[in-house]
Amino acid sequence: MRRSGLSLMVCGLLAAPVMAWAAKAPPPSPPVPFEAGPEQFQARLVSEGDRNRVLNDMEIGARAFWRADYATAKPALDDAILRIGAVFAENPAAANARKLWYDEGSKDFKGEPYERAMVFLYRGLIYLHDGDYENARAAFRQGQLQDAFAEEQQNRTDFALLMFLEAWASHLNGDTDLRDQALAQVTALRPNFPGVGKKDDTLILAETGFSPRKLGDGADHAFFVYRRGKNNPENQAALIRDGAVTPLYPMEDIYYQAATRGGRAIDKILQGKAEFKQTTGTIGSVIADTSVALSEQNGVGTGTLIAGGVAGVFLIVSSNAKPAADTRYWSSLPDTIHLMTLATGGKPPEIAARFLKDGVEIEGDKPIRCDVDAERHTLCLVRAH
Amino acid sequence: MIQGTSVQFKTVITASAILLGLTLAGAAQAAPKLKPQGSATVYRDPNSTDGVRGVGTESQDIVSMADAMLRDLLTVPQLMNRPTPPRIIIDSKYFRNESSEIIDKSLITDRIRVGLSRAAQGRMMFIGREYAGAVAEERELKDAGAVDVATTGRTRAQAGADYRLVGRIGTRDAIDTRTGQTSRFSQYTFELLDMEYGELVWSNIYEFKKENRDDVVYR
Repeated sequence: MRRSGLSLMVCGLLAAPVMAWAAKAPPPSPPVPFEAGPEQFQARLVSEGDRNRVLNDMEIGARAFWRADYATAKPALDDAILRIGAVFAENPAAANARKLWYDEGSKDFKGEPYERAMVFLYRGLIYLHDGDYENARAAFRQGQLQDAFAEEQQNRTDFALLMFLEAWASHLNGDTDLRDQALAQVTALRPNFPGVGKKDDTLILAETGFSPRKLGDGADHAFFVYRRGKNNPENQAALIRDGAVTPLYPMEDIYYQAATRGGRAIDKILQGKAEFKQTTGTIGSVIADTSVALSEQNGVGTGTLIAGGVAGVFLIVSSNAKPAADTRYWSSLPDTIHLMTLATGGKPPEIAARFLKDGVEIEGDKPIRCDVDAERHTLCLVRAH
Repeated sequence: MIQGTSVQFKTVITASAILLGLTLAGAAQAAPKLKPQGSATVYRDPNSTDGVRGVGTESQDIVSMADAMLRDLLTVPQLMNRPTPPRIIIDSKYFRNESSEIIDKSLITDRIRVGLSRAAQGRMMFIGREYAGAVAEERELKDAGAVDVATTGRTRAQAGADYRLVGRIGTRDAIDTRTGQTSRFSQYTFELLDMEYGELVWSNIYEFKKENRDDVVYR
C-alpha cells in the first residue's frame, strides 16, 4: 500500500519536469540588420509559424515601407492588424503562456502597446501615400487606442505623433473641424509644436536612432525593462531646402512610449511562477540538506535515499519552471520621429535631411524621398540609417 | 533503527507532499482574480455571435445594414411613386468615414446600389458618376469620329442626378485597462440628398455595439 502510494507520488512529481522538458521554447531568432530588408523575415514567416507571425509581419512592414515597397508592406501590416485586433477566446498558445512550464515567449506575439500602435502608424502612412485620408485617419485613431492599454493613467493615450497624423489626415481631407479637434490634443501634449499652416500640403517625416529594447530583469527574468537602442548615432534632424537649414520638430520619442507603459497584467502571473520556482528550489535544498544530515547521523538507509530522491525532484521541478518574460521586440523601429509641414503646391520639393547628435552634425546629408498623390498632396520620408 | 528511519522518511515524504501541494495551490491562486481567459466577441444588441472576432465591422454587419437600407429605400415615396424614374447616385464618395474603423466603404454602397437596382425593376435609374471619366472618354471618341455612335444614339450631356446617397460612419471606442475589456459602438448614418434643392428626403441609421476581452497574456 505504502509502496504504491509512494510510486504514485514520485510519478506525479516526475511528470512535472517531463512536461517542462516537452515545453522547451525554441531558441530566439538571430538579429537582422535593418539594411538587410524584409527578405529574411519573409522566410521566417514560414519557418516560425504563428508564434512569431505578427513580429515577422511588423519587421517586413517597416523594412518594406522604408524601401517604398508598399506592395510588400501593405499585406504584412494588414495581417498584423488583423491578428492584433482578433480575440481568440480559446487560444492554446495563450493558455500555455500562463502555465508554469511554459515561458511567456511561447505565446503568439502581438507586441506591446507601442509596437501595436506603430503597426497602425505605418499602415496609416501608406493610406496617406495612396490618398485615402479617411482610412489613414482611422488607422491613426486605432493606433491611439492601442496606447490606451498603458497602465499608468498619465501616460495613457499620449501618443502625440498619432494625434498629429490624425489631424493631418483630416486636414488633407478638408475636415477642418476634426483637424482642429485633434490639433488641440497635440498642442496639449506638445505646447511648443508650431501647428499646421492652412495651405500646408506636404508632410516631411524623419526617423532617427534605433528601436527600444526589452531586456529581461529581476529573479529569473520574470519581468523586462526597456532600454534605448544601443549607441544611437543621432537624435536630431533638420531640413535643408534652398540652402536653408530648419530643425524638424521631434514629435515622438518611441522609447518614451515603450518605457512609460507601466506594469502588465501578465507580470503578476510571471511573478507567481518566479515565487513557485524559488519556493520549490528552497524546499528541495532543505530536504537535500536534511537527507545529508540523516545519512551522517544514521548512515545511508532507504529513507535517506528516498528523501534525497524527493529533494532531487523538487530541484528539477524548480529548475524547469519558466517565469521568464517575453523579450521579443520589433527591432526595425526608430528611437525618435521628427516632422514638419510645408506648402509646396503639389510639386515635389527638392529637399535633404541633416542628422545631428546632441547638436553636432553627422557627416553626409541624406536626400528625402517625396511622393505626390492624386490630390496633389505630398508625403516626404527619410530615415537616418 | 529501521523503525526510526521509517518514521523520519514518512515525515519527510508527508511534509514534501504538503509543501508541494501548498506551493502549487499558491501559484494557481492568483489566476482567477485576473480573469485570465479571454472572452469571445459578442453582440450586445441585437445580432448573432457566430464567427465574429474583434470589435470592428464584420461581413455580416455589411450584409445586414445594406439589406436594411435598401428595403427602407424601397418605401421612399419620392423614389417609388414617380412617373419618370428618378436618377440616383449611390457610391462611396460622399459617404464619409469619420470613425476609427479602417473600412472599404464601397462594400456597403455597392451592395445597396446593386440590391436596390435589382429590386426597383426600372422604377429608379442609377447614375455611375464614379465612371464619368470613362463615359467622357468614350463621348470624346464619338465626337472626334474615331468610333461610331453605337446603337443608343447621342445625348447632349451625361445624365444629371436627382438624388445622391450620402452619410457618415462614426465610432466610439472604450477600453477598461483594469479588465482588458474593449468596446466599440458603431453608427452608420445613411441619407438621400436632393441634388437640386439640398433637402434630405430620407435618413436611416444602422448601429451596433461590440465588446470583447483579450487573454490576460496580451493585456
